[in-house]
Amino acid sequence: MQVFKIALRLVRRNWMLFAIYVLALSVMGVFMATGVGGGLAGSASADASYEQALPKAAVIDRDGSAVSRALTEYVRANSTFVEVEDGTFALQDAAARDVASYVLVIPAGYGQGLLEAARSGGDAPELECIVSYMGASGSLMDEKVRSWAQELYALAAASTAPVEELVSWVEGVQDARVPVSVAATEQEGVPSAYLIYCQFATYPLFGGVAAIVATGLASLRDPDVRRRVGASCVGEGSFARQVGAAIAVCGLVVWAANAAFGLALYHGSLEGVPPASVALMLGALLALGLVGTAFGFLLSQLGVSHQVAHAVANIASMVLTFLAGTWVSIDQMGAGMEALARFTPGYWCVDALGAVYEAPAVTGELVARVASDALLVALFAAVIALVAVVAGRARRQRALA
Amino acid sequence: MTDVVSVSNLVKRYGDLVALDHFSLRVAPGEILGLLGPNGSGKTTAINCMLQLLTYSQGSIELFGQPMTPARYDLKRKIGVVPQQVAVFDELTARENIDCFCSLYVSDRAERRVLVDAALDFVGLRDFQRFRPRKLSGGLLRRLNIACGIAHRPELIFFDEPTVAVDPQSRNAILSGIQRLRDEGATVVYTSHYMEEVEQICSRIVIMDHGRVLAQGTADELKRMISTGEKIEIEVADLPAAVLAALRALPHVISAVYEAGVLRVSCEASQRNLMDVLDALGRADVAVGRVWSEPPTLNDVFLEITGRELRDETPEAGR
Repeated sequence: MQVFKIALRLVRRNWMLFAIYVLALSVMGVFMATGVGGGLAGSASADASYEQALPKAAVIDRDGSAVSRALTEYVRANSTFVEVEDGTFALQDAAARDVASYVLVIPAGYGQGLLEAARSGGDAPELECIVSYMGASGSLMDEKVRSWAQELYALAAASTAPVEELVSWVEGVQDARVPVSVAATEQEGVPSAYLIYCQFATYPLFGGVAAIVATGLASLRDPDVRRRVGASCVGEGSFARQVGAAIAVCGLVVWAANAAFGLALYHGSLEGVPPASVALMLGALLALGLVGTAFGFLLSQLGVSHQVAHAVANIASMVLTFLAGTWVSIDQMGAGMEALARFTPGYWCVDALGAVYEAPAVTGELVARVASDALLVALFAAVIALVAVVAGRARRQRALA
Repeated sequence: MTDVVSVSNLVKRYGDLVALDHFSLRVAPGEILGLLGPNGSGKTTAINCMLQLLTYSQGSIELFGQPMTPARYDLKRKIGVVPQQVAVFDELTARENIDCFCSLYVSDRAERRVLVDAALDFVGLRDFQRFRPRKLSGGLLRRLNIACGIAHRPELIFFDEPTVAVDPQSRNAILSGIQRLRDEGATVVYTSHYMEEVEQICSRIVIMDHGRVLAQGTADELKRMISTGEKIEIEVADLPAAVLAALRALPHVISAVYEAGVLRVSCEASQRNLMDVLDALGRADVAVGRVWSEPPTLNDVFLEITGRELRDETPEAGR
């Protein structure tokens, strides 16, 4: 056990590595989670009131008919109405600068054309619109407008009533909305901020552990120190086993520190979340921590220098977290990239985290999925550790020859 | 009494290079044996083979009368190693370093504390025990390196060139420390390419080159093996060729060379060598400056055996 104790003592002396790779990166994860997934405070779902988000919309009415006036009023009632000049540049500029998420242009003769088309069974005239690319609210508004027009078309086709009456019927139909309220559930889902924190934890758990292990134990790889240890009562096998055990402890400590940090920060928003959900997420992260530990063991067995260990650990972490979908969602990367990502442990870890996040409750199916993902991740760790053992043995044989 | 070290016909090859060529060695208990040879002569390889840190093609190694194998931890427990390069942990203090390496042999913490204190005192590092290696000077670092190798009180200690790049004061401290270890009962194998220190502390010397043992014995025995018995150097302002020829013709003179105002004469062992040379110069009215006469050194032994100088590189600063 002496080498194990020495190894832990050496790693402890490299506390700065822990500060950088565990605490600093965990804090960075918090920043990312705060920026993307909301703050640290308790879940907003405690508030049962519901308020519909309104898009910023504008209407250019070139028709001036009863239909177009009614449609304009409809848009005004369902949006934060803004005024936009009727000009090609002004319209494009409004959408580009997000002055309005949705600009509806009602062409001249639209009202008359719509009624005639409905009553003759022809095609309804087209509405023009400009939708901002900065969000989906403009598209949703467009859906509502087209729905309004289709209602009017259908009523006009079925009735010869005057236009004012038809418009009032449409308004009546549109007003008959389903009341919305937030229903309290027995258990709440994992907050998105905590999910993002956990996703970002893949960096310290892989690269952090690898760098801490490879750098912190560099002194034990010094050829002269190894010679001294080799001449002592500690056999090569025992030396490797004890160093391996110390590395495993480092991995566990990093995982525990990162988990504790996250739980301490997000305990407010995790109130009401089933502990099993959090446990499943932490289990998936532990599996990834094993991969980082194995990778650090590999770097250690290869005898790389401090600088190379840091560089390799960080570059590998960036690739791993990228392919896991931590930086950019894997759905936006294309099929080829996703296929490649499946050959990396981070993908399966984040997949498990996502499954827990999306699941309404902890079920046997969810546990099985997370367990299979975690097992797959652990297999990566086993393979890397095996490679490390073989590489270490080969190096020792070469040193003996 | 059983030899502490007994090596027979050891052969170690690195590809085509023969690092040890039927190398044999015996070290008696309580002896300081000097392995003397130039860099690359096979000294460190021999030690590594004895410690089972290297495999070898042929030969046998016995330590304490027992065959040595990589798994003979009972024998390894009795051995201490002071490697050529300083092998310590930069992250730990001097005391922690000694404790760490001692812990590889002694698991009991209380016992170890006593041993570490003794080792610190032995090398004179008590005042620096809380210093990290980076804060220690080269000489103190070497002392720490030694303390890490001897703290567990080994019976057999291998010192592999422990005085390389060390200032004279620390060198003397190291050499006297090694003698004290011998006095306390340890057997020492000491490698060096510095003949003066080998001659100073070793009871027996093995001269090796190209992985072979060239000669062995005490310093006096080795010097008696060669024909040179005395070396004379005389400052002479001008030396006619006829006088140089006359000097070469003197009985017991092996060679006489005049170069850069200095006459160098090598003689066989004799009582009258210096007198004969000075008489010959006096008869030729040659003005004589300073005169030196000294017995042969181990370098002369090496030179005569191999035809080249033992110290084949520039001596270290401070030596």
